[in-house]
Amino acid sequence: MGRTIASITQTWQQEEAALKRFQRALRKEDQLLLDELLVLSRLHLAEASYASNLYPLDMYLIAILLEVYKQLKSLQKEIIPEGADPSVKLDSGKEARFLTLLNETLAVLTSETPPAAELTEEAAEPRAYTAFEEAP
Amino acid sequence: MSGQTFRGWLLDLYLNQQEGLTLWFISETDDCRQCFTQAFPVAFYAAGPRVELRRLWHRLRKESCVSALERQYKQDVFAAEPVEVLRVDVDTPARQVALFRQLEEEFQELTWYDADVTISTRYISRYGAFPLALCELSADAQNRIQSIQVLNSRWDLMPALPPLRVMELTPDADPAHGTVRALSLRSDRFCQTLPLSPDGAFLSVLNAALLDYDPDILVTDWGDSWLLPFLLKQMEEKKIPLALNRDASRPVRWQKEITYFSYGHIIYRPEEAHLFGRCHIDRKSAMMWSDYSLAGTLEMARVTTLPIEKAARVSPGQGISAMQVITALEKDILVPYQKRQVEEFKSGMQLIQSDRGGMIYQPKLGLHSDVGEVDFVSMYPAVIIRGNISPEVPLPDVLTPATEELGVVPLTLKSIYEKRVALKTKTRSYPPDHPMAKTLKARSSALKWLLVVCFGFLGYKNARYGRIEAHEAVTKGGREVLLRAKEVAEEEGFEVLQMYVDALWLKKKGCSKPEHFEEVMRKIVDRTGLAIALDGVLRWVAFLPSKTDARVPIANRYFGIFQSGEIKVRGLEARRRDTPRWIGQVQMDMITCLGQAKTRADLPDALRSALRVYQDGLEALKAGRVPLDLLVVNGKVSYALDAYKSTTASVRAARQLESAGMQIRPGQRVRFLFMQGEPDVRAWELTGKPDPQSVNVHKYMELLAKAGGSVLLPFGIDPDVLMEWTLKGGVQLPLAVQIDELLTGR
Repeated sequence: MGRTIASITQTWQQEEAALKRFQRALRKEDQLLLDELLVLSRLHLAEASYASNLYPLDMYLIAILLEVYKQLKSLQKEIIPEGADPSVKLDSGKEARFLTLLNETLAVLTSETPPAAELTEEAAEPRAYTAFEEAP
Repeated sequence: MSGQTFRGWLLDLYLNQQEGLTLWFISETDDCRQCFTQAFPVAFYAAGPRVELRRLWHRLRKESCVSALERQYKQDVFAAEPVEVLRVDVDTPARQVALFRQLEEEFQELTWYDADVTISTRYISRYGAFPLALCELSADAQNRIQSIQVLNSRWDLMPALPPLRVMELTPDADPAHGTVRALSLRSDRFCQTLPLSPDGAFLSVLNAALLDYDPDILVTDWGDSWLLPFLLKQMEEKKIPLALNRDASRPVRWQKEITYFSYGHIIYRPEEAHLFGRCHIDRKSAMMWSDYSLAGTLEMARVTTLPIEKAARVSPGQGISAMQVITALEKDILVPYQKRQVEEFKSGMQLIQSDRGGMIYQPKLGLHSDVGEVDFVSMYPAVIIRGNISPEVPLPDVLTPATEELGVVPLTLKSIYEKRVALKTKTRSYPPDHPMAKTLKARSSALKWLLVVCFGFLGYKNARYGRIEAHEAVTKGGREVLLRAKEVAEEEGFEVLQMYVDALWLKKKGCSKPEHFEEVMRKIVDRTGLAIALDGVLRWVAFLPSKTDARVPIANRYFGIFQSGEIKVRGLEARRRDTPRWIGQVQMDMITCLGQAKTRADLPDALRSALRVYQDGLEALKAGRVPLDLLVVNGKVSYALDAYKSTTASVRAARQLESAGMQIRPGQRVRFLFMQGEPDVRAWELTGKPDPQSVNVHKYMELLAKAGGSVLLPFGIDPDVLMEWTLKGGVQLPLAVQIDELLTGR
């Protein structure tokens, strides 16, 4: 009895080894963070094995995202007062940001009041030809 | 007792050059042991190019031992259509063995069938007689069996067994380490100590015991490696006869020592001493003795049909292999001599998808209370039977079988599986400490090992009925079953703390009694079609992290206590063979203390008493009060000693033994103590007694701290702090643990 392909733990170790040069080049504080991220990917080795993906690294990245998202949700739960609907909060935040942006834009437009024809011409101009200084 | 009918149990069966077979029976009526012979012609088959078969026919026509030659069409397990074969009938099994050895050399293009089937396997497939089968036979005046009928089945749950005479013969010391001064001789009728006097008087006493008591089974310690060679040597030197064999015409048969690789381990099996007419079991060579003792060994022999001496020593794999051959012979399927099947072509992606084992999750670290541990009853065998997974049968669609007629492997397994389930049910009808409960448990354990290895043998390239695709289909089925169980558990509101191949650890608020898990288990059975059982509800269980990185969970490193008070430990130092017995014991004592806590409120006291056990142990170690034999490390060398570039403690100890003139084989265990200075180890088997003052106490303190740290970590005590405290002292342990938080499984 023997195995032909590497086990999921072996592939994880190979991926970790492949990151060694990248990790070495990182600043010390980033090295520590990368190390922590890699630990997060190890928490879902069984699921990654079951997925049987040709590129197991993809699964490790998803596992990292999943764990980071879990932490995010957990923090969100701590920050947002109990009983409040987090989705409402997020949406209202988005709406507020949109209104602020709209107000700012309107304020700029009303103060400069450029001629409408010029605006049309500028919009028609291909972006590649716009001089750096004139860029919005 | 001649020329008449005889009823008795079959004890031993072996080749006889003249008559065919010699068989020993235990009489049902008068407790006598009777020897018979039996003519036993055997057949084997050859297939291949017709020219070669014709040449073989010409060659065999002149052989005096060949009684018949016939062209036939028979079923090869791996071929769709019957194959053309030449059937060769030989008058005795002994001559068949000799003839086949020659033919194999001469006709290398031919494929051989039924050529190397053991005699016990051939006998059961023809007459149905297995070790300890109750038989009725008629014999002529020369005790030659004319007919034989088997009166019971190897699948009987409570078979009538013979009144076996068991004699124990054990030296008073481990011969590899100490000097043996006396032998202890015990049976149900006597108990005697035989000093090894220079005049050899012990041989006469032993011989008298062998002749008078006439044991059926001789149980020894170190019988293969030391005791029987010693007795035979003494017998020769002192010219005193010793009737080790019941068959006086035979000498003791020696089977060569062997080193082999199995499941990631190098295993060494020493030379074996086999007797004729009675059975010799060396407890130190019997692989599974500690697990299932004599009752399990006899069950193994009955079910697998392996001779008792062999069943005691070989791995269960050989047993399952013999059983598959019997199934094939009963189904009139040819038994290939050498497997010629190769793995089917697979694309890289197919290989990635199929070459996978069971699902092993990463547990949720920490301490959890009221956890139900459920596992599938013999999951892989059940998947094989349910999916009808066999090398000659089309593979199932995950768990749905492709055909209804069971193949060789599931057909073999089905009887074992059903008998084991029945034995387990029967066991529950006795109180746990009842002798019958223990016997039934040992027998059930023997069957468990057969079921376990059957799956492995499907993937073993040399197994006659192995096929890697079938092996992969089993793990695939296992993964599917476990995922279905997880889905059901989550639908029922359970948190799945851990999953390990065939077991799940489930937790749900308010579920703390076995009946709270019945509903989810019933639904799992409905969804998977496989039986599942509740191992028990754990009062608490601690899943531990890796020793090298505390952030990383390890699948099989945990300990806990069932509500029944039974402790469950996996992956801890106490479970490791190389941990000194004393360290393992301290660790188990600490867990036992912690297990005393029945509620959260009890935990602080339990934790304190566990620490007291630890501290007492530490003081005993420092004061030199721990016996040296309890500090022995049981190491192992996996390769020949000259193959090591850098040495481990085991290798350094093995080299000491080699220098002292002992031979160390790969796979052999090497026991040693850690010592101060150089050399830093001392092989336990060296002559002379080690100086207790020179033992490296510091090293053992480290081992103790590691073992203690594993136990205390889930209770909030940092292993590094414990190590520092152990080695240096004076560090305040952070005992103010947030126990409430820990217990709620934060």
